Amino acid sequence: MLIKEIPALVGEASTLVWAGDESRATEVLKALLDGQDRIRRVSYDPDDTAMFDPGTLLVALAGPDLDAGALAPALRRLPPGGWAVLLLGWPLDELPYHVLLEPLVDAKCQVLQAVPVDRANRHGVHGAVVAARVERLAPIRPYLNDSPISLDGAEPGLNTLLRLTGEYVFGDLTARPLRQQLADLKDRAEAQRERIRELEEAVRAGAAKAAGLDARHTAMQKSLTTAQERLAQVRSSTTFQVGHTIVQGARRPARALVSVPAGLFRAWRNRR
Amino acid sequence: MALLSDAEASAYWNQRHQQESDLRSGGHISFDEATNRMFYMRRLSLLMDLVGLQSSPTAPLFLLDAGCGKGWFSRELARFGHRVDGIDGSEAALANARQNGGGPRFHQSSLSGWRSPWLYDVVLCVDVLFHILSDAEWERSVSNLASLVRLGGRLIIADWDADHDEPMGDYQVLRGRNTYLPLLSKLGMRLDGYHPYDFRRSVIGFYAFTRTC
Repeated sequence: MLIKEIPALVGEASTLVWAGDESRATEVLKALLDGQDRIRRVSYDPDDTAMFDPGTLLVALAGPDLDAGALAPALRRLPPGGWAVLLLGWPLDELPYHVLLEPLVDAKCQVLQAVPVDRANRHGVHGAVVAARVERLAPIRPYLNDSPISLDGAEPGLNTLLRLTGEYVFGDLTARPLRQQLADLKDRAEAQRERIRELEEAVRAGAAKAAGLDARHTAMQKSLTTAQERLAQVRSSTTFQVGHTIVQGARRPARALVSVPAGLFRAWRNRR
Repeated sequence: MALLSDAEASAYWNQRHQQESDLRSGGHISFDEATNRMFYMRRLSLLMDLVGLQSSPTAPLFLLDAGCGKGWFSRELARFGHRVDGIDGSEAALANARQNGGGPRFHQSSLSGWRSPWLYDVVLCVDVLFHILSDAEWERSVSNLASLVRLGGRLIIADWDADHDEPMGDYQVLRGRNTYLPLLSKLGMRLDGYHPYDFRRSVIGFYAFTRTC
């Protein structure tokens, strides 16, 4: 459901009271009342205890920053038949609805419909709860259409209440093993994420170590090349050539008479 | 004309799903594929109104397509963002449905035999109940489908709008208001309206019930 479709669920409302965080009022109300000018916003004084006028729609943003203590007095000021829309700032699968039930029940408000809201990234509203102050149970809402919710009609009969409580009890029973499975799966997923993080860390460490070895190898290679170049320079020097010729002549005296003068001549001719 | 036995009817449908094209096998056997496509679209459009026009990826509706055949309606409704379970008795139809995928979960079951730990927002049964020839099995089927609808949820079943029941050929028994309403009223379902197909000369339409208790 789009956020701007929500006001139509509560039928006619002439005024709106925003009992939420004032810093979010402009942004959220602009999205909620998009294209509607029939609802006039009136200011909200948290210290006032007078009942709201009939036809007042109470709107509050209930999210992670919710002060449940601040919501309760506002709900208590709804007259019988008065409407409240609580805009949910939590993702629906994390909705801590226990913090909403207490103030709603305390103010004699019946939750009539709860709907997911689209495009939460735009206004931060993931869902909405439509409730009304009642003096007797309102009819059970057929929730598949978008028609305005009505408080008129017969109070739910015994069979309806028996089915309601029966669905609650059986639903709770079947939800328990699934809740456990979900918790186990979340734990396993978290353990797997942790293992993946460890492996990624190990891969990164291995890569860093390999990079260190590469650098050391490169340095040694460079050092070896320098030494080889130095050796080649030494071997090609005149000093080495003369020394080498004399040493060879000393090792083989029989050949020295020829090889030493020839070698010395070559060294002199190629001198550097 | 004598009606088919349960076994004969079951064999008939399995063979029909094997031999006929995708839409004719579960649609109207007299219509060609193109006409059947129109027929399917017409019924889907009616279903959209009855299931509602809201869809949420985070909190979807849960639907049961009872007698899903090859799963055309299941797939289309799943494309609207709903979570759909499709059940059918024909293994041949289900093999085709599973092959086409598309999101729904398909299970082999009779309408009277489907068991679930969860209730559904909507249970729909498109052109199937009048193919259940045994009155006893029909009653077991309708009762079971109604029991799967949660409080405030909807049961949508296709049949004709007359008051009385009437066999059509050897493999259909049309049942009317005087048969549906007493049974479903006793089961906590309120009739919200009848929505005729208005397609060619079809006498069939959707009964829409809401569970009120």
